[in-house]
Amino acid sequence: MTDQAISGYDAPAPAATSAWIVVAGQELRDLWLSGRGLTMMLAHTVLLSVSTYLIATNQELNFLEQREAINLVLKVAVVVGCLLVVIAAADSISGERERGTLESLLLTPAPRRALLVGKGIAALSLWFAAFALSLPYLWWIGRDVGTFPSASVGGFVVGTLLALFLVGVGLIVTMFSQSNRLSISLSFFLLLALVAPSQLPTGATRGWAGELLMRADPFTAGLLYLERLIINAHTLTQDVGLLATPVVAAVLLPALALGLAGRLTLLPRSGS
Amino acid sequence: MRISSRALAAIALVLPLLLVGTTGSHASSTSSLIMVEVDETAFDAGPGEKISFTSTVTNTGEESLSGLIAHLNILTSDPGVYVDPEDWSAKRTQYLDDLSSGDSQRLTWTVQAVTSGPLILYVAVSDTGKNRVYASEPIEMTVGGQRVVNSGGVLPLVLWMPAGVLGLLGATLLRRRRHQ
Repeated sequence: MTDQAISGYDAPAPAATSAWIVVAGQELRDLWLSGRGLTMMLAHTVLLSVSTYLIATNQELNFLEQREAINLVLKVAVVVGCLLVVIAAADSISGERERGTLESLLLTPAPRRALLVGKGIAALSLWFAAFALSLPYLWWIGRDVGTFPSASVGGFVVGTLLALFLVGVGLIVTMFSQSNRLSISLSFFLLLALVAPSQLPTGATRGWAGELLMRADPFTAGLLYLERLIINAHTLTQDVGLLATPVVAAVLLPALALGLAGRLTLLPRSGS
Repeated sequence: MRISSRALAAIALVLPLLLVGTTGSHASSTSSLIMVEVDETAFDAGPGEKISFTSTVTNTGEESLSGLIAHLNILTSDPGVYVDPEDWSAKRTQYLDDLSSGDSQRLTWTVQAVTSGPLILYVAVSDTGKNRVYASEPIEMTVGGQRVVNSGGVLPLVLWMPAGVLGLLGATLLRRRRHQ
């Protein structure tokens, strides 16, 4: 965040406006009007365009059945959207700390919890924008098979739950990381570790351990829900049990991050 | 005694038939020990669709049987269709409990249609102790036409979407520069 942006927090908020709304507004302006958010969206649309072009024209990929193609693009949209969210959340506090602007931020009248909520909302906005941009691709690929409504609703629900979960993860990591590099790399590694089980071969997810992993990992459970929704043409409520872990994670991790907000300090673990 | 070439040809023709006959009689004699039945004879499915069926393995002999292994086989009658059974079903082998005389065990199989074409599915049960194999009647599975993405009109989408975002980014940066 820039110094100019920080000074915005000093302005007295209207009585009816909560501090978190002021912080969120400032963070959203900072993210979207600085061009950072749009640069991420540009990368996102380029990736979706390349994937869609290959699916439509490459003979190997176009061998995919149309429902599988929709599922593939939706998974890319959800995972990349979540990646953008976790990067933004992981940068939110440690980035301020590294740029030397955290001290000024902590001196503003805004409570620390409000700072985290505002930064979390800004990070989450990346998911909503990324998902909105993926809708034309999903519509174009699935225009003949009528899966666009279920794919868009299911993708929005699953992606929002996973994005909320990752906002919590990113905020917790960034609060206790002294360097931005550590915060982003750790969050990125966590995201990879969470996505990895969904890429395991079917045989590896058999047995009680495989079943447990499939349901305990929010990403694997969420992506499996989408797969059944699109490829197996299930209804939105048919496999709703699979969303239990993503829902719990989406509530628990942001709540934990807010609970730990009081421990947000200028130089954690430094002892100085 | 010298054997004529015609006699040799006759032996060469008859010998394989005798061997085939032996194998056939072996199969028929063993078919009375184990009976493998399936609850479907034919079904249609769309690509990606999952279907399930049940097979029942019955010990029709007089002795108890142990160590039976059931295996689901998937093949196509169309030489132009490639079938990798691993893709179609993740669990194609099941180990049966000991079967006393007259007992039976039901096994459930799940298959996911991958490519379109005519498929044949059957369950084979191996009796490792007696080195024999018993098979069910085949199930004819027809997977409907595969729908792939129609590539028409893809270029405007894949070019205009990033171009639109790039234009928005340019306008934002320009506005920011003007304000500064």
